[in-house]
Amino acid sequence: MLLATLAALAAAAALLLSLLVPGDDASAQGLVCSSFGGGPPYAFETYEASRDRQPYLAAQRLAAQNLLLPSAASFQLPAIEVGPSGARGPDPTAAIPPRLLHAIGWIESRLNQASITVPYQGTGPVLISSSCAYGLMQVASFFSNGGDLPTRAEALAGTHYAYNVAAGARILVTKWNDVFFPSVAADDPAFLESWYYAVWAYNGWAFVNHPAGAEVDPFRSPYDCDRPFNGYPYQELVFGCLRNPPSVDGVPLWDPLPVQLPDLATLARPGGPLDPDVYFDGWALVFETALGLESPLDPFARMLIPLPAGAIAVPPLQLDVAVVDRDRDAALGAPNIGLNASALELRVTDQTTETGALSITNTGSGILTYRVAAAPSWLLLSVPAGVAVGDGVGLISGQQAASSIVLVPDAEGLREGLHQATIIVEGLLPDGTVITKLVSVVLDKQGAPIYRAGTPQS
Amino acid sequence: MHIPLTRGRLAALAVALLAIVALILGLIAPPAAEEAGARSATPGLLVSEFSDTSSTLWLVDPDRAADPAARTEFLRVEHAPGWDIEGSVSPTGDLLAYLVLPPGRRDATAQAQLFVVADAAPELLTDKLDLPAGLAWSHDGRHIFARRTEPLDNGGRSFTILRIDVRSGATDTVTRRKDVLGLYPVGAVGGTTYVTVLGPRGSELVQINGAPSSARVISPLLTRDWTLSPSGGRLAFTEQQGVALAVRVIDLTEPPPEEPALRTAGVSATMRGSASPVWRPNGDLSIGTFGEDGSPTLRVAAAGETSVELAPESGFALPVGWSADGTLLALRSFSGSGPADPGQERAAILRPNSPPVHLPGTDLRILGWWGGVS
Repeated sequence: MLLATLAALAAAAALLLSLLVPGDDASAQGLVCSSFGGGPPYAFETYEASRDRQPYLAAQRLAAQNLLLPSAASFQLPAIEVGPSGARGPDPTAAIPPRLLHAIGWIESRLNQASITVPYQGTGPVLISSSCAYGLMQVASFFSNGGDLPTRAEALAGTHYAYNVAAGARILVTKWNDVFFPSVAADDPAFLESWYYAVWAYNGWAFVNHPAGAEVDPFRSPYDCDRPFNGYPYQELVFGCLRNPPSVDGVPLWDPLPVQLPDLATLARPGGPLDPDVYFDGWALVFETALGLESPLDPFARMLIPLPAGAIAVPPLQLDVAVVDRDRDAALGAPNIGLNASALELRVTDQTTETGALSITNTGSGILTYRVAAAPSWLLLSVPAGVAVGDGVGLISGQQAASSIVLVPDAEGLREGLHQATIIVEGLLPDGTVITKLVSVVLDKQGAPIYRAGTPQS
Repeated sequence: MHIPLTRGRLAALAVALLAIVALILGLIAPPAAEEAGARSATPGLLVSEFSDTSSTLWLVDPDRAADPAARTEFLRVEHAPGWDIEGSVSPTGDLLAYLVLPPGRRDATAQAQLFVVADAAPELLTDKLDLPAGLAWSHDGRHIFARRTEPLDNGGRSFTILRIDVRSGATDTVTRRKDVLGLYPVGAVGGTTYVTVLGPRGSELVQINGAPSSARVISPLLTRDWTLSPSGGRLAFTEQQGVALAVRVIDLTEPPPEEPALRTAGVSATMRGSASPVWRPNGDLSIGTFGEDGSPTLRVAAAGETSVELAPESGFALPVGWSADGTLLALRSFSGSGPADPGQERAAILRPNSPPVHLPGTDLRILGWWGGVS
């Protein structure tokens, strides 16, 4: 009997492991998000759009001008601050050049929201890096990874490409607005070259991205989006893909822009703004601040660089209202939530563990993000959040529009008899509305109690 | 500026040309007979051709280097989009080690795998390595050195240099540092392993041989391209200040001076226009030089005070590695004038009594010389 019980427990444990980790390679390695929360990454499920990436590019065009989610507190674009250092102010008309978001997305993920195992127009685990960055914009700082239930904003950014794009755009503007990072000339966002430091910071204000640093190739030619990443700082990769856009099936994803790089021959000379020593001096000021000593808010101010020769201002994209409405509707739709059951029964014996399934459907259009949790904790769920596909969203054959959550009872330690749990499912709608549905679960635990060494059995 | 050619100037020019030819011959002639005699098979140049999700490794016959149809496919490696492999042929010429970021992985600094190839399928040696940090071999070809980079709770990173036995895959830690900009494997000679530590104020060479490690400052600046001489007695490296680069050499057999007195290899102390030192098997040092003023040059300097201009009209070149028999030099050849304007890059082979032969294709990375060792 004991062997049978142990075998049943082992089988349940194996099942749990297989269900509770996403298929992405990062999580399969027992990843811990030490820089962002300390827990494992969330096992989100998401939707991967069409291979031509057009839905993603359209969402980025809207996000660049705060037209995607302008009313969502966690996803709206902050006002971009414009003007020379010390005299900057928010400019509500300023925008991110959309192609900059396209190029960042291409370098970050090849504009893929889901893991490599997920087909285009299919659903499955979200793309997660080993540094716990999620989705097509590889958003990291947005997530707490505390091993707990994700917040609603985390669920949205981790499961739905439109929110992921908006989160990425928001982070980029946050970097742009932060005076911690140095300026390019008068910080005019219409010049792509002005975004040099913000793009660097998007990837991390790290020395590996210093253009005169130790891990870049000093003999690199300008990146052209076809060459390997090896030997280039991140911001040069992004700028290279602006100059020479990538193609999918022979079709360039966007029009080229002749963006210029800083003139290292001049700027990286000793004492110049791109001399690594100037960068190190900035960090020294930061550390002084950490020690409680006074330090300027803009420790890297000496890295101010001019606009390179040949820089051309790109005016904000003028989007027709009808196009905005169309693209926004395509990205967000009008989803609604449906469940296949309001009550479920599970059974555990000393030899078997019965699992359950809860199907979440999208009775509306677009992509529905749901968040799900169970109480008490003996009921384990395969995902904390995912998506259900509705009308107007392409799915290839064999892919299910509904999302199926696997329920696994962890009955060890429970007494024989009936146990009650509740699953709380939230549908997170684009207008901010949250639809909450409850599913009751009854577990019937049968068979002999589990023997534990040192525990009286009577 | 126009300089009229007088009879005297013509004579001087002729003498200079003869001297250059002699120097070229001296540069590319076989080294000491006993060393050449120890090698018999013809070496091939192993190069990697990049595409977005895979790299094809080709073995190039130096006698037919310009003919793309003459090269042989050696291996095809699938990788994550954008990231080429970082590979290096062993000093013995019979093993290839490479780091690859496998498909499905995203972080080049934390998720690279190390493989070794002899004449069969690649064998996975270890995982979770830092691709951009590259590899280094021990002189005897028995160990590979690689870096593992891990995040710290405070947002910083720790670096660990690992030593991997190529036969058993056994891995042990050489050193670990968390308070530095970078930690890089250099190599090992005998029982001594060398690593370089970069900090905000310069470069340190750390010597580890079982006893408490010793360190010496090798430059107040950032450095790169560290390479140990065949005897292990000297270290050459490139000193970097912005886009200014200069090759330096230090004698490891001498105790480190309190103030490091650095001497240069083939270039003046003030000329910051040299990089990429490589040792020839006979102990000569080759370096690439380029004009600080932007004038295009192509020079490969040998040891001592020689500096040979090979083709001043066509750019510059950086040596990558000598074949094991010391007769062939692999080059990165550039059409531009220097790091600020490198122009188009191509792989090339410098052969005895011939100008460099460029390999067809623009996305080739040189991995080293395969074979050539009996």
